[in-house]
Amino acid sequence: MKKILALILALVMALSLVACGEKQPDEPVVEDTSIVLQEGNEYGAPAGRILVMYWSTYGSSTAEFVDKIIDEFNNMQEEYWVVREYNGGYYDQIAKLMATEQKDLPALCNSSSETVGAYLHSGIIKMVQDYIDADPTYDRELYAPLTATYGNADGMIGYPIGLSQSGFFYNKTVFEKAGIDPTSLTSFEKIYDAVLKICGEGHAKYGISEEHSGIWANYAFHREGFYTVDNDNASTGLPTKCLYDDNSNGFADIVKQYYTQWADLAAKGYVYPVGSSKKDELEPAFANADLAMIITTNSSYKRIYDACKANGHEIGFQLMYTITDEGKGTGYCTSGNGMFIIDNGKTKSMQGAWEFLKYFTSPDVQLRWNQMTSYMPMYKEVYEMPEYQADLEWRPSFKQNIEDFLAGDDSAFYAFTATNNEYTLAQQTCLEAVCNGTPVDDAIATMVQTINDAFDMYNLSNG
Amino acid sequence: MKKKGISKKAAKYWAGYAVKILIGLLICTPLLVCFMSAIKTEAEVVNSLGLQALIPPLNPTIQNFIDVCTKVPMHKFLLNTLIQCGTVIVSQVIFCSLAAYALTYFDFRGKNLLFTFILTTMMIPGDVVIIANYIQIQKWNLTNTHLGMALPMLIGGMGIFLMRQYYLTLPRDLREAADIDGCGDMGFFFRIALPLSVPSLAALSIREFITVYNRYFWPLLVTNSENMRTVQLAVAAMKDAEFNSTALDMACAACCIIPVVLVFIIGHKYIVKGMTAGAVKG
Amino acid sequence: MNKKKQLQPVSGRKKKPTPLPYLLLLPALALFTAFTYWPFLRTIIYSFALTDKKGNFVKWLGIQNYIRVFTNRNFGTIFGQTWYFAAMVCIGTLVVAMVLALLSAEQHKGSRVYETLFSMPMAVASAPAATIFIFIMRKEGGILNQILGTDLSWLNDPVFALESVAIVTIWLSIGSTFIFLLVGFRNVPIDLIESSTLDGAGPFRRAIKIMIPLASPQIFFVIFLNITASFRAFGQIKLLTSGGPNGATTTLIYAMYENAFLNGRYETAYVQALILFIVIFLVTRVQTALEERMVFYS
Repeated sequence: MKKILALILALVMALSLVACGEKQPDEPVVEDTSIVLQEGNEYGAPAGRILVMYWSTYGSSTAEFVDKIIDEFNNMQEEYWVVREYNGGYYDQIAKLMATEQKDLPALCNSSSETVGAYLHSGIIKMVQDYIDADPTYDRELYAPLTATYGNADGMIGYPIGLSQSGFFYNKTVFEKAGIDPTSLTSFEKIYDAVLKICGEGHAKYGISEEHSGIWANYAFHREGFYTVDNDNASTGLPTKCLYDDNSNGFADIVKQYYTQWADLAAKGYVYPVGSSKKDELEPAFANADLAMIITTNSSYKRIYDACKANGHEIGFQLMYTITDEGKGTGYCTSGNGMFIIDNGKTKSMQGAWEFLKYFTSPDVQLRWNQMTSYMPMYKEVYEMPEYQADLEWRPSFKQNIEDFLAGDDSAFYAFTATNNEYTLAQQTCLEAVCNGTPVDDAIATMVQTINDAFDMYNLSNG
Repeated sequence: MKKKGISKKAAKYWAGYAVKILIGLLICTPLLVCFMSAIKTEAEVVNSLGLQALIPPLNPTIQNFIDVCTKVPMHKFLLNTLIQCGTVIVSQVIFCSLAAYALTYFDFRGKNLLFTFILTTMMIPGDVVIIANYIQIQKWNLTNTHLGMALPMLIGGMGIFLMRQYYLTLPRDLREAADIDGCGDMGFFFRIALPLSVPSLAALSIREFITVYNRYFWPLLVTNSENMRTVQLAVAAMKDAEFNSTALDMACAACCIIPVVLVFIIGHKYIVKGMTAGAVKG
Repeated sequence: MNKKKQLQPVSGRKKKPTPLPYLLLLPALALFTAFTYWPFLRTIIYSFALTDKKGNFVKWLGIQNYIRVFTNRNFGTIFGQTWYFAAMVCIGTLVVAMVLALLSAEQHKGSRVYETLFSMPMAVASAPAATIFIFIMRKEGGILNQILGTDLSWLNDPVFALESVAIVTIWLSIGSTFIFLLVGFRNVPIDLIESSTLDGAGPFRRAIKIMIPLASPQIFFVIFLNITASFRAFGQIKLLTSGGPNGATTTLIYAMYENAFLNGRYETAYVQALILFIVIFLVTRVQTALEERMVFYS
């Protein structure tokens, strides 16, 4: 045994020397290394096209649509050839991007809106703003909250491709029985009272639940008018601490009130256990009128609408609430998906990525995309198309959502943290904790500690 | 008298048989749920509460399977997976037997150390070395190749351990008799030890088949192009779709399960029969 | 003592040293070195360093990483859950598989049907299994709740979540354990069983007195198999509960995954990996020591 230990130790020492000497400086990229496809290439592209690799998180029918648009793009111009490759969910993809050598990186990828911070600090992207500035034909005017979510003082970090809005679905049957107007639920305080009434009077078994994620709480806090981390919500620099326990402007009280109300509802058994799968548990319960509200985004409108219709229920969607009735209620934090241009050292390939991104967000494509997915329009031109207006007729509350959204300003955006997973997960865990009997103060303290520890470690090793 | 005794025994036997089949079906209930849900429409799946999930639908549909197969090239993924399984099984059968043979039948310096070295690999959490291995495979330009995908799996501590356990049960006289017959070291291995160990090799192969078939993160890392993707990645891609239905998920799970279950049902006879027969001989 | 004896060459002859055994071991050792030990050494080294978001070396920290991991407020919980989970899976699998294997120890015509049914779950991957079990363990309209007459949120109640994941894991692993045990039981010489039947031993006593002791090598083998597997069980945790609710299903291996792949905190993941390695190493040492005392080698 001693012999083995000695041997291992010796090996460790020898190899640690090797490992330290192994570090190589990054080679500066001198010339463009874009791949020009040859005759008979594996992608079936005509010879001479520049390969634009696109890593995507989309699967199934969404991917089918994206592939159709890629086909259109590949056939309408003669310079680039876009190829889409699936690379797992959002976090699988980031992990793979970070571990891949620059020469093997794609030129383009897509990810969800709350991961913008992770991409901003990843060190592997090119600012989309650079391409916008260099492109005289670009004249699009995105709705302000989108610019706030995907950009900082230096301009656009990534670029949105699909806009959805957070809020909650409500089952109209339940609300009619309870005699509550769901559109009046503009704050969590009011939702709390509504759940007490609905469940107390037995109109539904459960009042509320959420798609499992820590982002909703932040969206609500932003509606209330607060930033959640320092350095102006991490827009002017890496965050050093979160603000959930900072009461200098009363934010800590708001946070506490929010979680206390959740804890109270859960203790009464009015919350469908948080963490339950939205598709397998929440939606069926909702479609059977056992559950009155689901907090999520409106991008699954179509599926929920169909499921409820089959059972003779009507649904509606209401945009994200403030916490208190006194909340500022100015800006809506946007949800949905965006694209990022990855710096793979291949200039032309990256230019192709921008051209494709521009095509994907053109009015005609966006109209079809929105009709297929229940994403909302990202700019005026699409919204005002007669085809889009006609499509809104079967979902009147959706139209109301857009109007509410447009009435907001650009004051809200998801904090640009680099430690995105720990940040969002801590919030999710906090809700799970309070709903299962952990004292609210303890749960919040744990959340704050976890997030701050992650900031400290990140800043220590990457700052 | 005698006749009555036999019929009583037979009745007891058949009762026992029925109970065992029932227990077996109970164990396989989750699979039944999956197959039943896969042939229902989404509305039927969502509204099939409790035990209804086990009842076949009035109008079974194969639409879900058609959807799965039109959305992903299942046959291509299946082929890739089978190539992977084949490569790994062949390699493990050869290298594990050789190593186990050396560890059982030879006395040499550092033997105990090397055996510990091999056993220890089973205790190293594999996921922690996955990124380092990915970086290595990139350096060797082996991404998007079958070799790159298979390399870290080509040997396994479990396989060596399993084979060594088996060789230890072979009687010593066999070896001595072989010596007298003039079999060399390798002759004994190829003519006697290897053929006798076929049942253990079958067990090892089935284990590796299932392990390789079910891998997810490693093939995701080392492959990019659809031509190289495996079945589990197809399942994941289907599941990642935000707008999917539960019925479709179940159909996809069924697509993933059915090939292995078939291999399993066909191969089962050989595994258990072979394993027991071989051991009795030894 | 026993172990020493085992490691003796079976032929028991003295031979002059040849390079042959080294040649036979070479492919195995080369592959292990390249894909297991080399990255594992990196793991050991970097567990004493600070790493950046790509996992590159930043600076040496000494044992600070270890202090940080051990003093983390969740460490005790995670460590305890790891053990509890491993114990549940290991014992649960062994008991269920042993009952099944004893039931089918006698080979009959047609026994293959239930043997196949008993071992079928081993063919199912954790991904499709998770899809199915999430559906079965639903709170409203779930099959499990209906059969048991309960109203539990199996996977989302911190009190039951770890047990629920363990149930799924047991289901996934009874198949292979069953087959190994079956082989052990079927190897028990028929005359031994028959003579014990003549002595008037019932099936239960026969199992305890004859079958289990004689199949002890196989039993210890599956225990070893299940210990290493359950400490490393990860796919089902990720897909069923993602370590939640409120961390109730976070085990060491899951925490390690989360740190390495989701949080980009490689050095922390490395420390956890090493702790896990040491735990598995010690448990298997204890197990081997017990085996030497208890196993009945014919």
